[in-house]
Amino acid sequence: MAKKIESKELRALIKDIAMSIVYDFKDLSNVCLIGIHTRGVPIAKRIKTSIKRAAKIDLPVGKIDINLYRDDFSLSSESPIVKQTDVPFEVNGKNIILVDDVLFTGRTIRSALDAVMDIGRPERVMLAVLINRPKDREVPICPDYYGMEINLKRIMRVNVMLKEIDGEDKIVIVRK
Amino acid sequence: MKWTKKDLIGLENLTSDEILLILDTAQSFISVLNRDIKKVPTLRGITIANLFFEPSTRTKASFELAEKRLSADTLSITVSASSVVKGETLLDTVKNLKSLLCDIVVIRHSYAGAPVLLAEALENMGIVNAGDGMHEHPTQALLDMLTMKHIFGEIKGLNVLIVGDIKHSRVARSNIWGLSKFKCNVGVCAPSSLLPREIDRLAKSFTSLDEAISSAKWDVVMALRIQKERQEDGLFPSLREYHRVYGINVNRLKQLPKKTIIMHPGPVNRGVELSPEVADSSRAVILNQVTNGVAVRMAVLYLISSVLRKG
Amino acid sequence: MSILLSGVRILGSSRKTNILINNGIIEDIGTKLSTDKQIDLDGAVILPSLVDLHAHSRQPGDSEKEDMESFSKAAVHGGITALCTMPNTNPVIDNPEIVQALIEESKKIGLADILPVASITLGQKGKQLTEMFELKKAGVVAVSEDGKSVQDVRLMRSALEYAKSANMLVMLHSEEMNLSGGGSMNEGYASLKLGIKPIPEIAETIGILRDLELATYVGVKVHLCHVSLARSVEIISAYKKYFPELITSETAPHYMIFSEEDIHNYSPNFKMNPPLRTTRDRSRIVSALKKGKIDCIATDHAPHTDWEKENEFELAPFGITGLETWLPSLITYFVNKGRFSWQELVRLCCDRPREILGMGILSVKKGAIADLVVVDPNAQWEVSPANLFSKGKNTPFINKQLYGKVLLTLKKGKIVYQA
Repeated sequence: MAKKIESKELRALIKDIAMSIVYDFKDLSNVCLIGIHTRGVPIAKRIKTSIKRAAKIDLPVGKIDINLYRDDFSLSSESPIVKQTDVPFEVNGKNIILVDDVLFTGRTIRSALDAVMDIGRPERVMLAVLINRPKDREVPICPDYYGMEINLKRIMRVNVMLKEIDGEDKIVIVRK
Repeated sequence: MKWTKKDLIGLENLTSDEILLILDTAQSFISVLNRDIKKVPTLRGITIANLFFEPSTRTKASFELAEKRLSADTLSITVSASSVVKGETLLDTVKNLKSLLCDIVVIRHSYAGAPVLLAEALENMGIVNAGDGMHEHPTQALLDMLTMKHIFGEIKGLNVLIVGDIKHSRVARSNIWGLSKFKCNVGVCAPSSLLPREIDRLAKSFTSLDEAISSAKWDVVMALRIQKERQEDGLFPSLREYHRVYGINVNRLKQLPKKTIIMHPGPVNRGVELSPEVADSSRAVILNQVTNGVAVRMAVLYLISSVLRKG
Repeated sequence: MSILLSGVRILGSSRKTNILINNGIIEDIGTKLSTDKQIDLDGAVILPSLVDLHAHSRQPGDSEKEDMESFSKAAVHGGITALCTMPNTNPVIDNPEIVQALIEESKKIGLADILPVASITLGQKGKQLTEMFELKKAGVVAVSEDGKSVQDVRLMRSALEYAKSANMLVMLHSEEMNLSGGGSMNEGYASLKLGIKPIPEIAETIGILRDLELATYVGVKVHLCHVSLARSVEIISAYKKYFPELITSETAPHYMIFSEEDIHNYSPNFKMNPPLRTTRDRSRIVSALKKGKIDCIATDHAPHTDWEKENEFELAPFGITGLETWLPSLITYFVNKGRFSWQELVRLCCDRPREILGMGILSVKKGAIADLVVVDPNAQWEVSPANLFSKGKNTPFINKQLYGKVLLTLKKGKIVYQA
């Protein structure tokens, strides 16, 4: 399969996710997006922009850092700097959609779920990811929305690059 | 920027980047402390021993709370002076700790250097200094600096005046070390009997509070608690004279710039270091410091655990 | 039985020679000598043996820290054949019976001559004088309140007057204890940073001023112990100008080598009283030795058990060992670096101490008593606990390397130590 995905296609994937959300919800007024640090955050913002353009509704966007909820400390290669968790809206009773770049083992999302539950009691929590790697799951979590599904050898990594953070939009597949 | 140290002994050997890392991390914990579920599971499975050789309600409670908020298992041991008299040395206590398999030891001790002794003897455990003799009390200074950061936006270049028994104060020393990393203008004010020799190498010293006040546009005036033993040792004649010459009263508050905040590590001796009106005024930021204290201690424990876990 | 020491260099001379020892004296020196027992020393340096005016054997009473045997073995390992033992023991050396017992034990062990120093007051309690005439008869070489100082000025005056009558040398540990009480290190920038309760300079200088005023007023011979400050040297020199025959003084190797800045990590192996001072004091002490303003060097050897020293700095007892590191450390830091000549070392460690005790100076020449030490200044050795004979391992040199390996120590022609 192709070793990289260019910016035009990446943007299209995000737009697809946004449109799926719009089609699914008759009423978007109860829906909120929460991006997972780091790259889930700009993706969540872009989804919000797409939805605003299509459905003329402005979804609230928050961000969480799951470092305080990790269960795999020893695997983190960087010092676990705690970035800001900022959820500037009421979580209770809302329909939260967690947003992240790659769904791999699922542990990050499990931690994010714990973090959201500690902030409040949502009515429902869903998951939107740009890339889904279903073969490598280690916990029972699946995405409700995904841009693309890829199956790779364990040793391969999917690196999502975004203009807001990396200076360009690109997805590359590399050996770890 | 990475945190690489398994111990926090003092601020003397930290860089300004390391101090900012602790303060930024503390900031994240403040939001945890302000929401309904005030806990995170981060330090689950980690055991922390609080070894207090000196009595302390506030610092001990603050550390215990910080540990519980991080979901760590805590163990508080108050070692009375008598067991030291009985002949059980610090190292004996330490050997007991080794067998209890703690990951981190928080220690407060009346003798300087005790945390260093522990850090060398307990190579696989993290040591956090909660105050050792007259040497340092790093978490107190860090929380003071976090408070300053909240109010002034940044610590760099602040003018800070510390008034009180500098000679015997570990809080003063830690603050001086911490603030000097940010090129702050630090002044100290006390009668000569309460100023250590050579203090001018670390801060500008004044023996007159009024002179100190008029010498710079202070952002912070920090008053330290006066201990009665020092009067009994003949280091100053009376609390009444101390208050007259070195106490922050309403008149002196008026001489200070409007933006100046008054800080005090607590508990305040009303009518001695601060007059009651000053202690109760809006310029005194004493109460804010409690939450900041728990957050700073959570940050320190969190960063130290990250180093221990990797090793 | 005669011994021939071959290939030695007398006081570091470049010429190697042989020394024939017989009947306790140096019988002959020359290159063509030979005898049955020959020890080849391959260019090592030979000196008169060292005499230590200030050491603590911890006897009687504290055998955990040191006993006569370990003390004697440590001394000869350090090239020392005569040394004083201070009275701050348990019980205090304040009566003739204890003195006799110590001297007998020293003779039985037969390595170095152990010279007892008795206390100035009974039990060092600062109240009643000791029987100095009896003590002198029993073999005491001096009196001292070392470990502390007699606080009552009136009593100290009487003590000095009495010592004068008994012709007894007084070794002064001069300290104003009300100023130093509770402190553990020099008052200055280092103590400010470490947060340790300090001992101000004036505790030593005021103590010395008091004691020298008394001594010169009374007219008694005194010897000032462990001088550590530049200011102390100034004071002593001022008094010596007017009373040259009454005043001698000593310093210890650690005041020549270390300073308060070396106390990092709160290691009690750097804790002693008087404490390590500033680098300026250190350099003044060294130049004072060179100029003869301080007469000699003595170790103030103070052994302690490991568990006592493995403590918080402020709780650990004062004192470090010194017998076995004395000569090697001076060689490492001074002779090998060209800062002292061998002659200066011999003056400060062998000649002046002997003179102060009223013993004759020994030279390495024909007819002289064979109290000698042979040391290789180029050989390095590790100051490990196993390599030390003293029970006390509390030295700042522990686990470090020093130059100057003692190969042979002789007392009256008998080998008391051989590497």
